[in-house]
Amino acid sequence: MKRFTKFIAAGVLCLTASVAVEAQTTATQGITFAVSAINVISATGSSVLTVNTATPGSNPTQASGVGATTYAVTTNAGSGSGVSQDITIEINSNMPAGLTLGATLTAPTASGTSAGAVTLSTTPVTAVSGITKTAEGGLAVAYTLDATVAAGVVSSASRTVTLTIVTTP
Amino acid sequence: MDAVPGAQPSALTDQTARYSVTVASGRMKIAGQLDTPLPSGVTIKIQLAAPSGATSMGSVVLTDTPQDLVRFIPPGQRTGLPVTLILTATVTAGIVSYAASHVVLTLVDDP
Repeated sequence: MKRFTKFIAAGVLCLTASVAVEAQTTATQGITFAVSAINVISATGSSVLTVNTATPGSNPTQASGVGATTYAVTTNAGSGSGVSQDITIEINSNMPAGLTLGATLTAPTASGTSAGAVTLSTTPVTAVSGITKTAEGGLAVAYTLDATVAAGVVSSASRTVTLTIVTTP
Repeated sequence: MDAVPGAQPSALTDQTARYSVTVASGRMKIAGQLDTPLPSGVTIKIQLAAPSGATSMGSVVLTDTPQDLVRFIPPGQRTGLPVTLILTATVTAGIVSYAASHVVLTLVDDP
């Protein structure tokens, strides 16, 4: 499975300055500043999932991803303004019939709630909600792969996962 | 400037301002302060380039109390000396609308 990093970014720190002399021993310098909305996310690592065993009489055993996959997020969305950030997740192409790809994102320590295990498709689904004023990295993304016997033997294939930070409401 | 995901917002530096100072006699220093407090989570640092023979205190966090910025200024006239301003904000500052503040520079005796 392939991964790429997707950045959603908005906003800058703005600072301008000018000088005005008021008196011989004192001078004042005017400063205008602002902090705009900043919402950025990145993802690193890749994961390999192989379904290769089963308990007799049952569908194949779920596979867990091998490889460190994490994400990092920074947002200055206010906790008191009613505005927060969610993280959605999707893949670029749906899985073959009989295969289900799942993901669980660890929520930041400072804020946010993980939706737990979500099923991935080309339709974005919320994986973490309610993130406010947070700057954290190295947050785990855990992948799982389930296959029914109906899927048959599936040759190695890859998908690109996209994480997007969205403002809510 | 933006933020690197997982890190606090990047600092922004402005180096367009200049200052001038004239010392008639003795030894002087320049102290600086803000006339209004900044929002929580927002910090402004200032660094004044030192005139010849003087010592800059480097990058100093500005507060509403005077901080030494340049010391041991000997007599002389200097113009157009660089001023470096650095704005930083943590995510806890949130979104801050445009606001104005003033840096007050005061020339005083340096005993």
